[in-house]
Amino acid sequence: MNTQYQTVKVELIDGVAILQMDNPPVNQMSEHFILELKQATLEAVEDPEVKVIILTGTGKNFVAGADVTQLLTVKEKAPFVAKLMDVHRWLNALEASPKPIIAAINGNCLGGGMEIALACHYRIAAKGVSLGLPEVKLGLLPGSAGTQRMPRVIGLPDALDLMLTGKFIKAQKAWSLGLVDAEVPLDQLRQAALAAAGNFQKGLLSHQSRRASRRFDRLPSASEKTHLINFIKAQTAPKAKGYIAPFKIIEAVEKGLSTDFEADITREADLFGDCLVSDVAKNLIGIFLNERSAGRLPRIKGLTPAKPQKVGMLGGGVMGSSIVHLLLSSGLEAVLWEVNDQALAKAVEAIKKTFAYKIKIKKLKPEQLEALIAEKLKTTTDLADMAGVDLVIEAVLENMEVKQDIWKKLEGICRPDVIFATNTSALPITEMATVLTDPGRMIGLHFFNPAERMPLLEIICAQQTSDQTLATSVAFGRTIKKVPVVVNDGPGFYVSRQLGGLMGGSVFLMSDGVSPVEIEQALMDYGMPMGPATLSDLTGIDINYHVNQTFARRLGDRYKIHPLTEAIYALGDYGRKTGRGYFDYSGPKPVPNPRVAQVLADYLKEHQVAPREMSKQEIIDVMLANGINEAALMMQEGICDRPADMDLAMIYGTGFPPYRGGIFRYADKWGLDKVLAKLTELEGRYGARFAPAELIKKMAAQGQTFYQD
Amino acid sequence: MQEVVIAGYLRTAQSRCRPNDPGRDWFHALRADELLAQVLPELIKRSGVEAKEVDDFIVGSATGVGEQWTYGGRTPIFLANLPETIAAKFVDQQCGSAMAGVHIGFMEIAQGFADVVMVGGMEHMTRVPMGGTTKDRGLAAPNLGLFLNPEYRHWDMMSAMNMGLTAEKLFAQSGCTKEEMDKWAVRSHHRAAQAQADGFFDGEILPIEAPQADGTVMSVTTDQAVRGDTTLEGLASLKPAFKKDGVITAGVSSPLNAAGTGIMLMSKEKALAKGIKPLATIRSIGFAGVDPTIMGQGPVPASLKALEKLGMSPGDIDYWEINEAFAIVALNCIKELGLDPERVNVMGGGLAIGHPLGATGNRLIGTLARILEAKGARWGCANACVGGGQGVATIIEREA
Repeated sequence: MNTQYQTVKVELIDGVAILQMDNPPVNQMSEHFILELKQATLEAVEDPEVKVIILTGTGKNFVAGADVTQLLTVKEKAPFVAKLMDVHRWLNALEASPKPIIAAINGNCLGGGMEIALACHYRIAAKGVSLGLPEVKLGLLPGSAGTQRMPRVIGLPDALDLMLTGKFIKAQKAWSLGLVDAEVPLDQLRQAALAAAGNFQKGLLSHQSRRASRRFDRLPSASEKTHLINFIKAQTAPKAKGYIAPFKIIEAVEKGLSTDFEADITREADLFGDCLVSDVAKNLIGIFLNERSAGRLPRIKGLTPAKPQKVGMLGGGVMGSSIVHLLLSSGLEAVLWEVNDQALAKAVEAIKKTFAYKIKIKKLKPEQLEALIAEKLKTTTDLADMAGVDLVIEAVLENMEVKQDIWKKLEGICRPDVIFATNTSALPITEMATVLTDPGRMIGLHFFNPAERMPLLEIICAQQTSDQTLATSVAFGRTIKKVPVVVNDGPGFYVSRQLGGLMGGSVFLMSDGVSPVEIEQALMDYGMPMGPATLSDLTGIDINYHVNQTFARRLGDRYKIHPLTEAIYALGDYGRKTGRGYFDYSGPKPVPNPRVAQVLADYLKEHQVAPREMSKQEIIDVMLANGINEAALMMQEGICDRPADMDLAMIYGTGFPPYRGGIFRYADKWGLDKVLAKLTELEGRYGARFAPAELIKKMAAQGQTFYQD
Repeated sequence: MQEVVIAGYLRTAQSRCRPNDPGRDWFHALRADELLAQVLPELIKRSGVEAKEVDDFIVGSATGVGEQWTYGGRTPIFLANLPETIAAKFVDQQCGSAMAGVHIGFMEIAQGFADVVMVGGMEHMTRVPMGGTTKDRGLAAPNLGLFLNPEYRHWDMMSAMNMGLTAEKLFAQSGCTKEEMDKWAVRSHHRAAQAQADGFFDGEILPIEAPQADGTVMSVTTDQAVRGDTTLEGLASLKPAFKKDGVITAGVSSPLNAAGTGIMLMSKEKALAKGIKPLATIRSIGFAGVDPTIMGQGPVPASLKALEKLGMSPGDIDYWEINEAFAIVALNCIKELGLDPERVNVMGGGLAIGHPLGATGNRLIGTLARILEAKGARWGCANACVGGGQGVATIIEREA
């Protein structure tokens, strides 16, 4: 057989052809790679000298999935489905091969890679490698027979779990599920694959009985399938609202897994096509790509970031303890400072509590936590102990003087290259940095609560933040496994202000007679985790009020507090913390707070406004128009300039529905001319808060979009 | 010792299994435990007992892995929604599994430890394939030492685990001819087809609604593998199935099948008290081990042992049900025990009706009891060969 391929290395050993896939950087299934791999495998099948074929990968990857950038360009379903059927025919030919094919899974075996392995007759995985069908996370389904082969190999319940969550499993779990036949240390993989090849040659293993498409023994009976599908549908419906792929996956297995494999995979390809051309998939693929490029700003390109190993944490409250959790979990050393021993003891207890879930699910043993704390966490009430740290993160009282005082002291203690990061959520960082001799070392690292779980890290550049400080901060964000999104300093930075903008339309709608319950429901139906009233109750109506005051003071009349907001604030029902806010939390379920309802009724009566019906779409149009306007205002003010990063920030920081793609993506889809028209109409109805940003006017006039894809 | 009677017998039809082409199996969309779970409540009802009176449930299957794992015999009870008070156990004596269940139930009742014992058998050879496939997937993992260590070479495990090769070996030593085997197979199909046409099996088959590959639902009431048009010429033209120069073809081997079978055992005393007319009384049981590479000779010593306990000889038995795992097994048994072939498998045998491995024992005993009834005969012996080198036998008596 031909041994000259660009992306496949061929080696022949005693009748065993070892085909090593090598398509840098991650063995993605790009078109040219599939073409070569197809040719190489089929040639090996044809070659009379080859008796057994071993398929393996290079480096950390077997095959890490499809080339999603290529998928993003697909606009029409039919031609793509035809191409996909070619892949099916190839995989079917591999499976039907008269020669055994062994997948020696050396590294990540994901998506299309997993589907290639499923078409092989024997799978050996190196210890610790990840396997899975993560397509659902990109709004897709496993489209190369994964929905049909996986259940036949590991049974429908486990296959659905893998396909609907998109989770990765490690080799050991894959072995226990029956997905792989053996799990061996990486350095023994080749030897084990050759031994399996020998067993096939000796007749100790038979590849005929290992053809996944022909297997039937793990499939449910008709009645089991009915019960399982009904259960899964009921479970999925509320969780996957707005998404397409989970339902298509269910459809693929419900109508598939029959005795006619050809029909099953043809249907699967068609369902894949449905998903691929949907906005949801485009949005989710976009997010996936954006996430990889988040924080990769031109201004820090080429800089070598420092790698902080020892991090000082000032303050051990809710945020501080969560951040220490992150540091310890990332293998870093932490030095925690608090004002006194009592506060320190409380902080250490709080840190332990943040690990409670990991202990509950047995990912960590209590004694391991104790050892981790003993080894990696130092506590102190003396700022002088910050002398040896590489980075300081501050999460003390939200008071400019207190914070500046600490920074001034630290300037005399820490090395000059140590970055000073503040976790403030409201104070201007540029002003905070003025006390420093070198304000370039200061930056904002805005974590979201609970920091150990929320994936976003909002990085705020003050006016004088140096490029080196930023480069190190972005790298640090990735070290602690956060998605780093960089913005510039301004009131509420990006996320808080954007969320305020998105939710800010509700008070105008209420003052126009729209029921707050309807607004709440419209936002939930849109996909937000909660509506404006619930969010206010959670963060505190008083806190929001003060933030709005700051906005009004620093950003001008546009942000003037609405009289209805004033009236509700004056009630003194500040939300969950006072037991009542927009909702009353005294019963088993929150119910609308009659006191707020009365304030609203009085307001409407006073202004002679009658309650009115408004469709959910109309409500969403008002809310989103305001949100988009806020985004455009921040762009024109220079708070942010990368729509892709901003959309990520809203998704990961506020739970904005990923399948909507983000605020900027939604704006492009809606059309900026229509956004402008809506804002103009709303400005007429509700006033200056909705006055269209100049940027929107300009972009609408020129037919531009925020995204350039 | 209490006398033990067969108070009831019921089974599903036996579908023809095809692990490589599942859609052609009438029962491909139903599990073995689902088949059995449909049989059990109806068996209880037809036997004239209350479910809560059943003391023990013994279920046999030759392949208790995957979906045929029963959690100690309990899942069929749960699936049939029977009382939790029914104890359960799972028995594996390969093709003798259900008959072993009858033997255990017989002993439990005979010794006075139970009054009513229900015996189930289940096997689905499409959904839980036998042999190599099971081994390949790690579901059956016999000790490799048995195959590789010279100390165990005498067991010849490669032959011992290949039923076709054991049949070849039995044929070689039996003195029978290939034509005799083919003729026996034709007889088996013709007798079974005639019995079907006469409605004989209707009395023991519970119709099952089974989803089919084309989306329709079929009421399955007949054994799928019976082929009344089987000819000697057709069988003679078949190629050897297990070794190149062999004689054992697919035509003289039992097909792969799926079924659920059930037998209700009861103390005679209890049956009388409840006014139940038993099908037959169990008089003796036998079990024997033989060379695993010639497992097909197992029924001979097993039957002789059972007869010996009663002081009887083979000629005293009116009708025989010999499991036709292979035609040669029945022919060898007839030859060695000196039986009148006209008294053997009179309604056809496993070659036609099918052999769902662990479920077969109930069918052999149950069908035999019904044959005795139909023929007005008294004594019957059911036996079967068992993979791994065993034989099992049960002698029953119909009392007028």
